[in-house]
Amino acid sequence: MMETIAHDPAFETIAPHVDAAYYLARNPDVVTAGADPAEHYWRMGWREGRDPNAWFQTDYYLRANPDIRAAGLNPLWHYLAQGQREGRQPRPAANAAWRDEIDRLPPPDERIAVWTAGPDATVLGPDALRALLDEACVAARGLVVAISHDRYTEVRGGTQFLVADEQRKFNGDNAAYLHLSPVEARLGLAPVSPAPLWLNVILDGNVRGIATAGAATVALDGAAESLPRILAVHTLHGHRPELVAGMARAFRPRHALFWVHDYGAACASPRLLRNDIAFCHAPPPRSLACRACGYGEDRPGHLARMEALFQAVAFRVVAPSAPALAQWRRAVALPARGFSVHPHARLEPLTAPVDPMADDGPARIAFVGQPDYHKGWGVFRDLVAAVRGLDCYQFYHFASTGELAALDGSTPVSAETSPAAPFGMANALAERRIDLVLALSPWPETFGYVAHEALAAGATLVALASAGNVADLTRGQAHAAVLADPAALIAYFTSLRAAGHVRDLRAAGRARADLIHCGSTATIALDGTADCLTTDPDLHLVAGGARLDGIQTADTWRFALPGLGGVRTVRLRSRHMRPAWESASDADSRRLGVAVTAVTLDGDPVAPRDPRRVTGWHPPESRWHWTDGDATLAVGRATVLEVSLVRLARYWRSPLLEPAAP
Amino acid sequence: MTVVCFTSLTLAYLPRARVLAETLRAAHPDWPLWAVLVDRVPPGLDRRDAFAGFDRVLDAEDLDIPLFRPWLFRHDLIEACTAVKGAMLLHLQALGADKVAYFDPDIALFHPLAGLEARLDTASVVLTPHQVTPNDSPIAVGDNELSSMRYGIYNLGFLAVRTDAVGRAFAAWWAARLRDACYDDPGNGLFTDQKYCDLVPGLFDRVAIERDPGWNVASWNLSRRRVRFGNDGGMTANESPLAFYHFTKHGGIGAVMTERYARGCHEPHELWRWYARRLAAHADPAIADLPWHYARFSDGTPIPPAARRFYRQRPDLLEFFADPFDVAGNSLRSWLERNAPQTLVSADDPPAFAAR
Repeated sequence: MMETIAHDPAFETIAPHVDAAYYLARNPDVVTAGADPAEHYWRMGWREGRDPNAWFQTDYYLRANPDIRAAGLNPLWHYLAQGQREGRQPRPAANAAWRDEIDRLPPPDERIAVWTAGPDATVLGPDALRALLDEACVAARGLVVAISHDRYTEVRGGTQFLVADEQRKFNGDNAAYLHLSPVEARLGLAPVSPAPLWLNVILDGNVRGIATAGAATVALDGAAESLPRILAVHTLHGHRPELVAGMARAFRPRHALFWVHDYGAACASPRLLRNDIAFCHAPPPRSLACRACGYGEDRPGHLARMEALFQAVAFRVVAPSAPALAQWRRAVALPARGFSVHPHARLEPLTAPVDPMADDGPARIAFVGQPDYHKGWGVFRDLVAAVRGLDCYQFYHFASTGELAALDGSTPVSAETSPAAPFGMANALAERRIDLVLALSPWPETFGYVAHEALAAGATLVALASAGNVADLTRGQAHAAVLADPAALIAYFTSLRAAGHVRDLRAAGRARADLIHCGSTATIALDGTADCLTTDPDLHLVAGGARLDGIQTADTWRFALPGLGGVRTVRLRSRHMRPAWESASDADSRRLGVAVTAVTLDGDPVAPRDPRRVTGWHPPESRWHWTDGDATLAVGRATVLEVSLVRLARYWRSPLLEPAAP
Repeated sequence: MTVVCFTSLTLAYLPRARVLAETLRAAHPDWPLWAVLVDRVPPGLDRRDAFAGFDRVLDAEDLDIPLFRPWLFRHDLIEACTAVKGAMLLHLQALGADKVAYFDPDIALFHPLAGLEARLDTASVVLTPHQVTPNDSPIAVGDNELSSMRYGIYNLGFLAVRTDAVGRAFAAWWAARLRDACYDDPGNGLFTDQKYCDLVPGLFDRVAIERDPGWNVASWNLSRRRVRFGNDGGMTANESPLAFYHFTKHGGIGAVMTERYARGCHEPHELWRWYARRLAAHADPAIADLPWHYARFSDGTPIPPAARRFYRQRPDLLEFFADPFDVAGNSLRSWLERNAPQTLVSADDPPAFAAR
């Protein structure tokens, strides 16, 4: 058998072009069978649609050349012997990551909605929801109603993480936080319909059930009437803006904020990717580009509904970066009350470069996050294929376990950022000593959280110019590279400029930074000047369903306990924070309220291990005893409670909740 | 002054023609659009609804074509739809249309045809060549330039004519040729209505060759035209506004050629996706599976292509049988059964209308 093949000139033509390592890596059955890759491809591999190397696509060649398919010719042989000279292409095109995407785009009426609530979800009527709100608002400094597209407590993702950060910081400032997301998740707005729209109800981070938008509207009417009220709209996918307007009218917020996480205000394609593949710059809604786009048909209606929402609610539009705000304002003209830029996170430099070790290994390059087209995965795939065989590069894909995609030439690394591990990705990138993190989005990302994580890890960014704020962020970095397009990116690597760049970076040493999560709405100051950190614990009691403030002398608070016959315990409430959430270098994951040094009841001390310190107390330390911010204390029939503390914590404070705020 | 437009179709092509109608309406709201129907509207189909996007619908059999049914019998579907174009042009000229444009039903307009009206003030005939830029690879030369040499230099998916002396002379000549022999027969130098027009710049004065790369973009010139969307939402081909795209051979060789020549550009694929969505929006279950009226004898049996070819070479048969479709009594078919039975053996349905 071998003799006949080895002397076949056609086989001899293709054999040098079958990349054995490539072929075996992709075809474990060929490894198992112990077959020679070239022979396998020659005999059957091409008929089975297998690719002989990184640059020739068997299926594509046969699809683009039906004459070759009809003739039953080996496509690689045809290409080498003849097709190449004729100008036929060996694969769709370099950098044609969009090719698969365009075939996946569902027509508008086939875009499905997914019901996300379990059948046993608690249904909250208006009274039950109002009762939950009233309870959460006892002694609260304010009530925040936040709107986004899914249950942020259960779904991993950038926006979800930022909403969780916002909720924690508002809660830490003693504000109640109600989050509403559509039970029926979908891209774009929910259609106008007389049917009720069901919402997931999450209160202070706990899933409480589902309610209709109508029930939520009734419950919000007059809720927290005496408190500052804030409405924060993060995303509207799956919502009906008409119902959001109704809720806002009932809620009457002091501040209504509309966040620019994406450009969903302008189109149902939130990243403004025409047909899911190319950034469109949000042209006029009846333009030819919109007509040719799968999302264009809905756009005039979408814009009319957004316009009506902005007419009904005096939103301040907040973007996490200046480029995002500028892009949003180019994309959509909505009657907003004002515009602000407020980053979701900022970087604080740590100490001097921390990587002085000589490192001659291959440059370590990472793609971070979901392997999706809109994150630039296709470009990454093309890049890895293009530099295959160059041993000066080592590629990695960092993502949560469920999102890791198999890719030859790239090592998967399971890592994620989550409310439980807010620096998970940054730490993982630092541990692997990643040199370059790629930012390849084909659309202008509004913030670029991953890019911030990369910088926190001491890595350097390599971005495509299309990537919006990430590109801007990259330009601001000393050694970063911004490439014009995917072809330029590939050239940057194949020319070995990237490898040289990494050598320089290593010589300079890498500096990690602390990533400070800013709590989004929780730290917005409309005058732009407020300091959002405070040592004031806002210590107070909750007794008999009411807030009770004490008289403060230095760091001792004296509370006159009410002569309420039935009250035997009080709640000692304060602002709270989590050190491990605030800094990657702090491992203390406890929720900390106040560090209490002494408690007396009618002058008698209540010692740290006294059973009257009932719940909400961490194990006592030598000089103080931390509460978690909401501790209970059995006070018996005492009439005076004194609490002394040492101010060890710095808390986040929301300027929007301050009484002096406009 | 307006340009009177027309297209020619069978019912199977109605969804395509509706896309032409809606895009023509958007680009040129004041240009009337006629359809010439080379088919019969079946009972139960509301003609007005079916052709709601058109200003007028004319049945091909109402055109001034002598011995219409015998004449039509000589043509397959593609040939028949192209063969009536000349008679329709004469018809519109006779009705007083000053400027007439023809569009294939698988064309969609994007930007207005800037300057066509003005162009027809000085030109009598406007033709669009398949290619206006030389190709640069052997396969593209073969697929495109050599194809044009075989099937016609100018694409007759578009044609514009001024009703002046030259335009009338052209229409009369073209209609006569199409009445005589509008066949898909490249071996004999014929390709329906199209190959004849290679002669037009030589035969007639004031023939304008429209070389604007935004006109008649299609798979046969995609190798040399770069279609782009602008940030303003407009579309261009080689920097010129994209006036019309010819979605030729949807689902067939058109897709293969787009795959081959769009290369690294997603825009042509986006247009094809759009076109598929519009076809789906205009799909009509009432006509989806209708056979072509002229595809069958009166008893419903398909007419084999060989029978048509045989018949067209026998003028005596054309004059003898008043209605060659009719199978009653001494019919053409019974004559063929007796005298040329080999013409009746292949009874496959004719292919869908897929002409250039």
